Amino acid sequence: MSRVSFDQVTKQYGTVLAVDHLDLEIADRELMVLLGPSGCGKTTALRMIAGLEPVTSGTLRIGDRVVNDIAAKDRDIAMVFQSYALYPHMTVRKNIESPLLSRGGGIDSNERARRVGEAADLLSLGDLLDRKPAALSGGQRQRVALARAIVRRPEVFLMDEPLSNLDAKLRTQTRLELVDLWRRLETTFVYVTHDQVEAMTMASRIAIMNEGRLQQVGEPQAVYDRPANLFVAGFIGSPPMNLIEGTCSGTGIDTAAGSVGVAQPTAASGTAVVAGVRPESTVIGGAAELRGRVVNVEMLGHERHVICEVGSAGWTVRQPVTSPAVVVGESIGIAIDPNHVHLFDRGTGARVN
Amino acid sequence: MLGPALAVFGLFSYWPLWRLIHYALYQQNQTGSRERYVGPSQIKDTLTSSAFTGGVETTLKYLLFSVPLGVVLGMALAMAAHRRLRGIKIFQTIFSSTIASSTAVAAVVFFTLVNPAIGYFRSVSWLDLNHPTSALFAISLSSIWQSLGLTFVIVSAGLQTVPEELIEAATLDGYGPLRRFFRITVPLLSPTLLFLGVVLSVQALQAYAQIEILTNGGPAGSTETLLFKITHLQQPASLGQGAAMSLGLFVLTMIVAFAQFLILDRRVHYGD
Repeated sequence: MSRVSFDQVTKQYGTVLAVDHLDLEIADRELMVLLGPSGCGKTTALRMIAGLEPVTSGTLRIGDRVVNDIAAKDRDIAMVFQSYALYPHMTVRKNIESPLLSRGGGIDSNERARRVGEAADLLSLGDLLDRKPAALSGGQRQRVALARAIVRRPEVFLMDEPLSNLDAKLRTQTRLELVDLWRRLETTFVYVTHDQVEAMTMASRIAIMNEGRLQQVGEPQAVYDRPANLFVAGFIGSPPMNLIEGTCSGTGIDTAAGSVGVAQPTAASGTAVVAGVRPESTVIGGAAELRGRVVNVEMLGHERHVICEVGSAGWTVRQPVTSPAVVVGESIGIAIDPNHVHLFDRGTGARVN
Repeated sequence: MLGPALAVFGLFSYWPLWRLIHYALYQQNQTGSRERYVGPSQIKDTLTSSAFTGGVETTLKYLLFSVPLGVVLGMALAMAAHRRLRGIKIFQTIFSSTIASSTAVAAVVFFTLVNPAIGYFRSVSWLDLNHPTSALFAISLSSIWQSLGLTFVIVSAGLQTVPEELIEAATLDGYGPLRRFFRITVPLLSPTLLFLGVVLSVQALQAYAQIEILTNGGPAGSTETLLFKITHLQQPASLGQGAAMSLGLFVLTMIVAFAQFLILDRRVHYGD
């Protein structure tokens, strides 16, 4: 079993709370993505699993073992660092072999060579085994780092933003390869990133963190469709969700720019809320509920983003390029699908519908 | 553009070297008022004399005493001070403090410490400056101590270039502290260590002040390094010999430096 569980785990540096009472269960063979902005505690949480940071309080388990006091080398995990952390003075072969050399006893040279060959074949490194890291491209170095992790056959793979040093095209290709690798290895991956596209496209589940606290855990589509709070609503989705302050009325939300109908308002009338609507759930024209002014039009080829001012809030509408064109400065009406309005308490930020 | 730099270099490096060669090829009279050309035979006779070969032997012994131990001690202190512990900055300051001391000052302090009448270490036999078998080693310790600040600072700077993630990766790979040190830290520090080795070797080959202060070349000439001998050949009549020895020391220094680069450079990793 290679599940990982955080039970009220906290990490404190002096007076700074980097991870605040984290409760999270990562299932066996799951690809869990820890997502959040810089400084949210996701890398600290990953490093606590690895044993590179001690746990201040709480219980951390890998499988059935409590690992709080177990040394990093004895936790049966492997980690791919953001910078890959390849030993620059060793060849690719030696880099991949190094975890097996230090294990002591039980792995003879034939077995080591076989495992290195296996890992190298899996990641197409056969021709590169005698090169040193300086002679490799970024993508090749990353594959070497993965091979070094695989050769150990760990219970859990940890990855700290492994794609951040790659160019955009290589990143897309490597994302697919990583997911394919996860499926083939059939083991647990814990993957840290600040890139929501990586999270949405790769994860079995996403755990979103902010300021050391877990905001929401769920499958990518579930998190996208029902963000648990304002932070998640604004963080997930590109372009981000449109947010406008208002007050609940009997039938919808009254804002400074108009009234928005909501299919199932659950907050009491008079409650101060923030209404959130995804850009693809609004159209220009139609039975307009909000009035605004076009500030910019971004052409993306397959669609366009119309950036507007609605009251004091910014507002983005995604529309197909076949829609009637709009011009900057034009006053427009915005219609909203009432079934896709998200309501958040203006004080706490928590979802209310 | 290069004119001023070439002028300075020429004035303070090439011209003195040219004058040195000149003096080695000529013999002065007692007063230095006249000189006559004697040619390369003076150089040959000087470099094959027992005075020169004895000086080379003493100098190389001194180098072998002071350089490896100096590098190892400097590294040990730098590794100890590299840890993120509260109050470590105080120790970093203490360890690097000898960088501000001169060779002469360090020698005088050492002399006081081993003084047979009042010195704290007066009973330690291998620090006895009055015994031919221990005097050279004792002097080398004073040099090691004086150079410790420089060694510490240079190795500390080198340690900053070893990425922390590499140490963490080695930890996760199961490397213990010793294995991490020898398999990861030392190879990545190798350019720094090679530089230190060459610098300390050149310093050792030019050892003079500490010998003058601590033993004046004794006991029984056992601490007469090459440079010490050269500085005692300043009379006009022996100027030619002194110049020939200086040329010999110059060539020896180049050989030692090149040998270090030749032998050790292939083991040095220069990074990405």
